[in-house]
Amino acid sequence: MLKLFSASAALAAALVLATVPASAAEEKGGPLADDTHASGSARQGHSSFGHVHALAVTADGRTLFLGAHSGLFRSEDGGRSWQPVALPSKHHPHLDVMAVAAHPADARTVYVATHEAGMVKTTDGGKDWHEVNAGLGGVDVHGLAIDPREPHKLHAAVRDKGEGIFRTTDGGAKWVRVDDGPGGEVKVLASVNIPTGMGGIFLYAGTAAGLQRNPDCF
Amino acid sequence: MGGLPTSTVNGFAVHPTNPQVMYVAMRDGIFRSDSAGERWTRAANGPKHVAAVAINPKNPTEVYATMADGTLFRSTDGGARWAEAR
Repeated sequence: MLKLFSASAALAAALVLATVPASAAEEKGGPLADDTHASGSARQGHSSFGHVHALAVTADGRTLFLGAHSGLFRSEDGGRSWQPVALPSKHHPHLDVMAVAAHPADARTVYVATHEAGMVKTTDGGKDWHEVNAGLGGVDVHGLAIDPREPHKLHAAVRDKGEGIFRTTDGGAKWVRVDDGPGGEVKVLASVNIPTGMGGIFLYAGTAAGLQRNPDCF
Repeated sequence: MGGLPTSTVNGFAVHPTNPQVMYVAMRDGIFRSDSAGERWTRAANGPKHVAAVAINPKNPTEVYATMADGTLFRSTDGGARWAEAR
């Protein structure tokens, strides 16, 4: 069975969080977490990416978005060529993009989670981006899940200052903290349309401790 | 979670209409589950050091995976065979 990463509203949180090894939180920057930095082969990617964190395909299947240490990139030709995407940034020359969530039906709407500036959103296919951080506890967002049934509902994993799982039900206009989240560093977060029997669906989290899931009815 | 190494999960993607089908990106490669994560199979010829994975929602047998350095791979058969996207 997959581990639950947190308790549902009806259960005690400590019960399940105890299943995550205490060392998991210390693995950021450790040999395990850093292993993907090593190329180990002669293959060369796009030299300007830096370390890649995220990949998404828009609803129409035409555009790939890639999130990397050096920012956001897009490709219209299946990844043969990439163009940098300018994101709004008051204090940083570029943003470290941690997660990208494409709207499941509207190809023009994409959400991007960053390491330094919270979340940004486009509703016009990536020409204009605006911050959607109201209510978010911190600016370091490591995971972003869009609900496939209700795309205005998203969950975000905030790390470090103000950490926790945050939820919006209005496309990012307002966020509310709903859970502590899994132990250890969240690398990826996804909503999976499998009913929990409690009115919600499952939230899957990829972490330094493996894959975990939890009902999203926090 | 039979078949999935107990190490860092870097990336995850789920099929848009069949949520039992999901992919995980790890140091050890790309893994697919047809059972919502109960059992996993590693893509034999897929890349390793995988940072992220994504499914084309318009054509879900088309799956993309990127290595940490940005080298992109594509599968057109639901993750069984992979080739570098050029």
